[in-house]
Amino acid sequence: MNITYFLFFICIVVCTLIITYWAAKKSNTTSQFYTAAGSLTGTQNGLAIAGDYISAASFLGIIGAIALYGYDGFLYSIGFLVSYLIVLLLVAEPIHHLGKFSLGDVICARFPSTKMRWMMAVSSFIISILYLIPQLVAAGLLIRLLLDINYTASVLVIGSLMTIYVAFGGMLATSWVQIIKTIVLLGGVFLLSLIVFSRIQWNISDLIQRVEEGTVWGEKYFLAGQLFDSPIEIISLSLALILGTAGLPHILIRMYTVRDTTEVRRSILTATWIIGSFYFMTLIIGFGAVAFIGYQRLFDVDSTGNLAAPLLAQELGGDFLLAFISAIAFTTIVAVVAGLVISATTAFSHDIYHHIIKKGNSTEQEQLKAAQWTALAIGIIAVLFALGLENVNVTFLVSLTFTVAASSNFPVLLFTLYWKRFNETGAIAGMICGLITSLMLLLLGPHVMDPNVGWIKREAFHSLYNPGIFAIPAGFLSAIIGSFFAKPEPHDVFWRFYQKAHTGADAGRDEK
Amino acid sequence: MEKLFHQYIKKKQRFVLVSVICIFLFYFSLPLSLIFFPQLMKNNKDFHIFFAWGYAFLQFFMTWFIGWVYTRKAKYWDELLERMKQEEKR
Repeated sequence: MNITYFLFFICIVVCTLIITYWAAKKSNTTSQFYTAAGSLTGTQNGLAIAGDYISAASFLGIIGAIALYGYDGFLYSIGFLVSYLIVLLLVAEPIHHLGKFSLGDVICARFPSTKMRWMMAVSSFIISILYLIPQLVAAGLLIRLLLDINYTASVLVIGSLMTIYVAFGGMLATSWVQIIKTIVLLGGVFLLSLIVFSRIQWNISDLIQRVEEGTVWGEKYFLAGQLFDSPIEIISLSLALILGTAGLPHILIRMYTVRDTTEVRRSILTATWIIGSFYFMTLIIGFGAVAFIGYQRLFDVDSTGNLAAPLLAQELGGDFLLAFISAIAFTTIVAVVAGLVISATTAFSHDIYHHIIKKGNSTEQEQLKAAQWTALAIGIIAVLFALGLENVNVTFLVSLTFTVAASSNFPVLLFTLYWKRFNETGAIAGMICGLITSLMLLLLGPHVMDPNVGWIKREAFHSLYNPGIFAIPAGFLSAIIGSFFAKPEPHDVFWRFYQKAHTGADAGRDEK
Repeated sequence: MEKLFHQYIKKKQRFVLVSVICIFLFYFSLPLSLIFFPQLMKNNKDFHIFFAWGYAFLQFFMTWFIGWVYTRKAKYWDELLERMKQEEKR
């Protein structure tokens, strides 16, 4: 590793550890630990949401997909962005009104039972872990490629950092790491976009011409069909992307980190501006990568295209810019995995330890201790899994988490908040069926089953890489059918809940 | 008072429902157009850029626009709700 890389890397580690030290002194209550006591402003939370959301898959994966496949790569960006409207309009404010720390709080405000609490905790835990482990594996591989550190050391460094942020600094440290990551990331991609433009003398026609020369697709690069050849695949992916965000626990628990619904709305609006601007710039960088480096070289270095941004940085700005972009990639990864650890920690320590094991009777100190130990345990488990899965392709799990979230959490959340006839039986049916269907379709699909490169060396039972089109309706349908197998709640009980969910006016049924 | 709350929630939900339907129609018409009207999406004579790109960029502006409209509306609803709560106290 050269000295420039090392200095950037150390600078990030020191800065984030200082933030954690500062946050650790403040995180002495559960409210501080889980939600930063609602102390963030809407703009800060918006930056943190963007930091939580823009993973290495977004930063490096989308740039790579655009560089290699053109228009189809950009379809991901659209789905990721528009999904925030669903969060804003349908779930963000009710979640803030009903919950305290976890997603389980929201559902249990209407169906207060241990069974329901278990279901929500398990589903949040599975989704967060499903997202966390592949991020760690991808991070280890990426850092190994970028900084030339071996895989084990990469995973250990990232795993230790994420655990330290969460265990000592809680949500406050995690949020500020994410805020700084977003600012650095936006600065980095803006700089790279400017350099691309300056290299072509701000002549967009010249860039388009160079892209056409650089890619193997010619003019077809600018049209759909290079990545997705099946119509059902495009629709399925679009469906999972637009509904998935509204089921992701690590994004939804961020609605608790601000003081009121005005700030909740401001958070999401800020996040959409940041994420949207970011995706615009990834388009320029993707075009720049194929224009200045060429398809073949990009593909030869890494067939997934994940190294398109770092390669472009090296091409345009030499080792210094490469070191800077690599440092940004590193910050991107640690900020996202820290968000996932805190989400999994909340599901376990708040829902399972406090509510189920201790029946809501543990003290602040006991809860805080449990949360810190949980964060440590999750960190260790995730690192061990990531080390064991070094040679297994698990990166596809990142995009499939959206399908799992959209088919299990989202239907239950939506019906709980809006449907009068919905009941606990429907919620449990929807959750179990959505979770099992999406996981089964994933296991029986071409990602896992492939005669040559799959985990299971057999022909897949179906050919869909994105099974959302079947899994998501299954989650919704089972929730609906399940609801008709049990009696609905009395009108006044539902109305009190509904009023609290949509106005914040406490009807006295469930104290936060 | 409960009647007023009812009306308030109904008004808000109507706006949300209409917006969500519009978002879904606008969002899914992009992949559906790519599948069913590929020639239209490849058209770049009338718009200088491929229609597919123009429509993709419009999705960004749609997101920002609806987000902005909803935030403005919600501010008005918050004030309305606050007035209702004050009246209830009296």
